[in-house]
Amino acid sequence: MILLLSALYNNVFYFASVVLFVIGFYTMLVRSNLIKKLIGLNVMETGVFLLFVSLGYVEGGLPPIVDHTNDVVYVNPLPTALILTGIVVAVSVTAFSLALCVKLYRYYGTLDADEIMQRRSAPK
Amino acid sequence: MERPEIAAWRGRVTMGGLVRRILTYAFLSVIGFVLVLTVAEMPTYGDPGNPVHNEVAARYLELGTTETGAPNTISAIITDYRAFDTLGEATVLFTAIAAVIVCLKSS
Amino acid sequence: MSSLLDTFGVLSVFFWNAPVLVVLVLWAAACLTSLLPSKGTWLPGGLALAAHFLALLLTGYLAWAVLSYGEIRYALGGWLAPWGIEFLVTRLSVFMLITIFSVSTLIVVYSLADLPHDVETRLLGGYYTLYLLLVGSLAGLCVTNDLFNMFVLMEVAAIGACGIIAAKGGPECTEASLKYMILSCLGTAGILLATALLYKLTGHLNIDYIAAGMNTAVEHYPINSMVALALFSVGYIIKAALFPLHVWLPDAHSSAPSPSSAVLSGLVIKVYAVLYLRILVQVYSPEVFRIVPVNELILVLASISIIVGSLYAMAQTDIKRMLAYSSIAQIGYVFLGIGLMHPTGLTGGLLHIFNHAMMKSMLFLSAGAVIYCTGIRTIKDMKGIGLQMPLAMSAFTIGAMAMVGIPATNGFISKLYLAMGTLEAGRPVYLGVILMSSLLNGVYYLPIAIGAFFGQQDPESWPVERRDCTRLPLRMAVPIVILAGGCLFFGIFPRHMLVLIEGTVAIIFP
Repeated sequence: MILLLSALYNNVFYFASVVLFVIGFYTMLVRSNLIKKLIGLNVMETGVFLLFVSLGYVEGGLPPIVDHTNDVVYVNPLPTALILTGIVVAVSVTAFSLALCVKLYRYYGTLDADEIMQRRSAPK
Repeated sequence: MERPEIAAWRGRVTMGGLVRRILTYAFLSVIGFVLVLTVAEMPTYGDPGNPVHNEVAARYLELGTTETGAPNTISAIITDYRAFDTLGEATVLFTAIAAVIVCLKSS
Repeated sequence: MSSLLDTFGVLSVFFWNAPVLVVLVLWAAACLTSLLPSKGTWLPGGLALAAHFLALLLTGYLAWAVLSYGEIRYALGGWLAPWGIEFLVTRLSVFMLITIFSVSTLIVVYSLADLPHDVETRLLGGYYTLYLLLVGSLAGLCVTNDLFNMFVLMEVAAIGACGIIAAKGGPECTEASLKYMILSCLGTAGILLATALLYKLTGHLNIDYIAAGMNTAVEHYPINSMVALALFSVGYIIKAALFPLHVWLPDAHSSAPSPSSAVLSGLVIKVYAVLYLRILVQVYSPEVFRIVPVNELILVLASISIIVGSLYAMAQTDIKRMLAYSSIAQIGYVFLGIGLMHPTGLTGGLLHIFNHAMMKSMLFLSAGAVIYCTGIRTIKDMKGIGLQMPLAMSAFTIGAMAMVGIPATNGFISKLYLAMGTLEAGRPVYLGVILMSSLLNGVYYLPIAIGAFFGQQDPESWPVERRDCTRLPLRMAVPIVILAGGCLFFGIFPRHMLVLIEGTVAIIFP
């Protein structure tokens, strides 16, 4: 137990990213409001991004803007570069999902997933 | 005297909904538990001996400036070493814009 | 003379870069399509068709090169593997590229006539833009050898796929599209988390390099590598619509315009099945299955998905919805082939990807032709329609026979290989599953075909939206005839595709 806690303490950024992932997943499962579902999705993706970025950290590392004159340690630049791409991807997905929500609101006048389900099954 | 939202909440609670909720929480706690175990097993945060800090990152840092001309290694990666990812990123944006336009214009 | 040399030089550059051009040709055509004026209805479609022909040419070249010289490694931007992104063209990629482009070209030809019926004229440009982006990224998914690049391409494919569903407008399409989008994002988030875990354990994103570091990773970090495998499984099972996570598929595939349904059911879900196979056999080694029996889980899910998909399909009244549920059953066959982890079974599963892509897109297109000409969507109204639309319903009958697996159709060959695979792997239980599902397929497909030719029309129960039969346009008839001919051709001469598959299987099971 103490071993587990100390491991969690050492990997506190990884732990935080996992917590974010689970919070986002919880929001997606439990909330019926579509906007909240999308927020949950974004929190989830943020969790993954935090995990990715914190992978690149080295103890005492500097940002990787290289200056070869003095001998210092830099953090690993690859995860940061990947996540720059990842963030744009997440934004695009969110934009399109929100456009679909706008359309749904025009059709049904509500953003509640349960209510939309009820209205769909009611007239048939 | 109950507050109206609590009364409304009580009206909405059904047996099936309760079971579903409990199952959801059980499912989430299993996932959370497994992920916490995963975190505990991971290589220590910030340790220079992690598998991540291998020859790939070393070459980016050492030769990035001379090979691409960018002192910022992150720019060197996104615009040169892994430029196809950036093209993909631009394509995702383009796809999303096209999809939003098509979606909002259709009646 | 010099101009001839120049032409030759340009051509050689063109073919030298074929692995990336297969993607870029379609993406470039998508950019051009979005710039076209929205008035001319044939222009965007014509451009899409031209891009498909170019891509077919490149695929032909790649097939020739791979079959004569072995797999092609293409370093993007000249940066070699662990530093840059690498494309790897194997026999499996060539097989998938041929499947994608041959079916997709025919769907584009069909959509030239059918699409203005479902999608407004001013949106056609946008529709073809999304279609080209989707097909281009599917091609990219088949050739890329980099996990993060795979993630980016998967998101392009997901937005493109949701876009061509939502293009029709209307509440059902929008809702189906949003449901698909949310679940698909959940899947990609899982896949990205798994990619992060593998990157952490091995320090690489290239599949070959990850595979090289995987043995030590499993030894030192067993929980992490298993959690990554679980996340990959969940992500790809969502995207390929295997049983417990198939909920998005019926709505999405049935409400979309017919060409979209054909491409989604025929191609998109198959690509994810192939990616999952690559993760299982290329990244993880077979020793992992001894620790955690993932393949057993896949077998069980695939069997449930075959049976449940068929049972749901029997209960449907809408023809396109029935075809959509049938897709869930058929993707089960592909996963059954993957889960058997046996050469013959895998051959059957992979062959079924090609065969099902042909027959399911043909069934969707002929159902779309019936809807186009008469406005009938419900199965019971299709009685006697065969005499009015002999071509579409004959093709539908061939597709139905292929679904059941009657000899001389392509469905028979892949089911035969799967059945032999179950026996050779010592799992006769799954032979029972295959036979039972063939029976179920017969129960729901054949009555439609028989009723269409021998049933009596009941004019009093005609639906209000029913129109008098209009003539089937040539651009819709030709793809249906070619696909139907293909179903018969590959049922009688299956060797052409088996060459590519057997080469793949021989690498996986040496």
